[in-house]
Amino acid sequence: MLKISVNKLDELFALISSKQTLYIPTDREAGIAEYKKWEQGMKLSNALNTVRSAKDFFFPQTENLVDFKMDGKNIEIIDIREESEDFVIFGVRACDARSFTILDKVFLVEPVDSYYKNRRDHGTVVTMACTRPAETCFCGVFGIDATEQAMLSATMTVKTSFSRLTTKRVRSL
Amino acid sequence: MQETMIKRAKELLADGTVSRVIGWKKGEFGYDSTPAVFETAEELDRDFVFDDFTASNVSKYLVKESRKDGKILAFLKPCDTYSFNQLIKEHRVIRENVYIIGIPGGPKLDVEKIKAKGITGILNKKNENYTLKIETLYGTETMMFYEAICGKCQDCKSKKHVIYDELIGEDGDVLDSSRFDMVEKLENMTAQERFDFWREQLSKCIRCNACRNVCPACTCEKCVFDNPKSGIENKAPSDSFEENMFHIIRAFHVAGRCTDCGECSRVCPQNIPLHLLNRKFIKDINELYGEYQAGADLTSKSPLTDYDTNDCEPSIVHERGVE
Amino acid sequence: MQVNNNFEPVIVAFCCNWCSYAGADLSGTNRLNYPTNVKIIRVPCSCRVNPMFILRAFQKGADGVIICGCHPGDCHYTSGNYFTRRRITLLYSMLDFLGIERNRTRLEWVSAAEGAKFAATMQQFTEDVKKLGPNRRLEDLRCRKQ
Repeated sequence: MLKISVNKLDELFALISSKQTLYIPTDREAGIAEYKKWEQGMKLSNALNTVRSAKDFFFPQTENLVDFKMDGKNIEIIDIREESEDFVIFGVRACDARSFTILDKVFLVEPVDSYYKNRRDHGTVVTMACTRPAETCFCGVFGIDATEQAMLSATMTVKTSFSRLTTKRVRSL
Repeated sequence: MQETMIKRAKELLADGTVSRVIGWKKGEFGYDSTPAVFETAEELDRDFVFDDFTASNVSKYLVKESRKDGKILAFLKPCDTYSFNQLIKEHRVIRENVYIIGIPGGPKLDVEKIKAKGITGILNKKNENYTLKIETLYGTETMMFYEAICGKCQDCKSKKHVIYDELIGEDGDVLDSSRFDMVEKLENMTAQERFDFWREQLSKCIRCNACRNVCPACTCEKCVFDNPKSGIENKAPSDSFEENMFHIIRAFHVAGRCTDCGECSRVCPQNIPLHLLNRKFIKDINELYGEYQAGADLTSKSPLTDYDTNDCEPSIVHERGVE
Repeated sequence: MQVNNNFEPVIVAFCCNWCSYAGADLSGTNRLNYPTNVKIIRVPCSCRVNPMFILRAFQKGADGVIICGCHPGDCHYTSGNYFTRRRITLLYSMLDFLGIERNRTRLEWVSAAEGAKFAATMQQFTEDVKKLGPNRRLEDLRCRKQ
């Protein structure tokens, strides 16, 4: 269990983004949050959840599957798949994180969706527990533990959920 | 007001004037009301609601409802009456099957604005002297009433009921609204600034089609956006062109028929200011072809199905606004 | 905005069958030159032009769109071009509102006897669009020629 003070979050983001691309939920306008690539000065949103879910990182609404060229009757198919770069998504809520396991059940069984697998293998999910769920939240109904859904990887799982709670209490003291 | 409305609805159901009532019903939460049809007095007592959150325009549902057997009672706010009038003009509703009671308009609240302030877990709200006291799962929060007012109510254009069979409350007047201010502001930006503004707004579009579905002017049985042969059928936009195309075409299809009810922007899940596109058309029509308010009466010709031999040329676009 | 001197715009011209198409024909028989960039689409009347056609033209690679019709009052179908005028004014105003360059769109009344005017209009319009550069704001990336 690691702890980090809320004031130091920006430094953490800078450190993470120097190694891999980092996406955090940030406010587009009051109360509306969206995932954006982290840049210096970007503030983590306080909104309960983003308008578009983190699923977009693994399963976007539209994507280019293949290019092809026609030459009379000949079709030349060009494979435009390329290895995704490593990336980190910070601040995913438990409900969104649970959805990844469900998507895995569909796309990572035979036949494996290579586009999805590519992104999933290179993405690291760091969840953030909700301290103030809304009346519309359904995590309880589905048995999703608000603090338990992060993807484990050797060095990068930081249970900031706990640390965030602690530091918030520390701050208010 | 809610009690008066329920009482009158029950009277009309009882004496057989109407066989159904369309209004709003409580949703799962206090702020979550949806349009609904009621058939018995019990249903009305149990579910009917009319409060600061019932902002939806029920005119569109009357397109289907008025075609069913029996008469239906509809409660229409002033802005809704304009939509209904426009639908009569276009022969989309059967007027004889609808009994209209005009109800007061008045600023409605948008729960998204309350949530944008970080107030979640909303259970109930009270309005005390224009301060909202909101009970949440986490205690009571307050905010100013005017900060929660729905976008469309901020630029209210008219409190006048243009059509009704009876009224509850007083009739109002057409207001001097500032609804074209933002349009004018945009017109005075450079083309590049406008392009950047609209790119930023329209790139949020997810093609949920909520704007089209809620719009009273969009009543085509077979919408062009559902037609696979048109090339712009329902699908997520894959590039900027498709995002632009949907909105330009939809705004154009309702041009001259849009009553500016504001529902499109209210229902957009991504908060795109769609009303600006429709208001731009209305402003252009007012300035170039004479003041026209869709739905204000039943006899005037819609500007796009009418012409004048002395109309201006399209080159006038070069002389207006800022390049 | 850098303008490549080798840039040749693609211009789509919607010409009404009775006046402007005949005018275009006349400019041909009179051996008057107009740029080869112009691709003519013949329509029965200028009011046949749906705003979707104009957007489609831009999507498929046009850099400029011009609509030519009969002079107001002379429409073969009596009043078609009056509707065109209103519709197209509103559409061009909306495109301007969205930030699309004004000079990419135009409407011109050309009668069957005005072969010279047709050629001159096309010449001028091609020049204007050439100065603006390729259409990037209303283009569909999937349709861009590689």
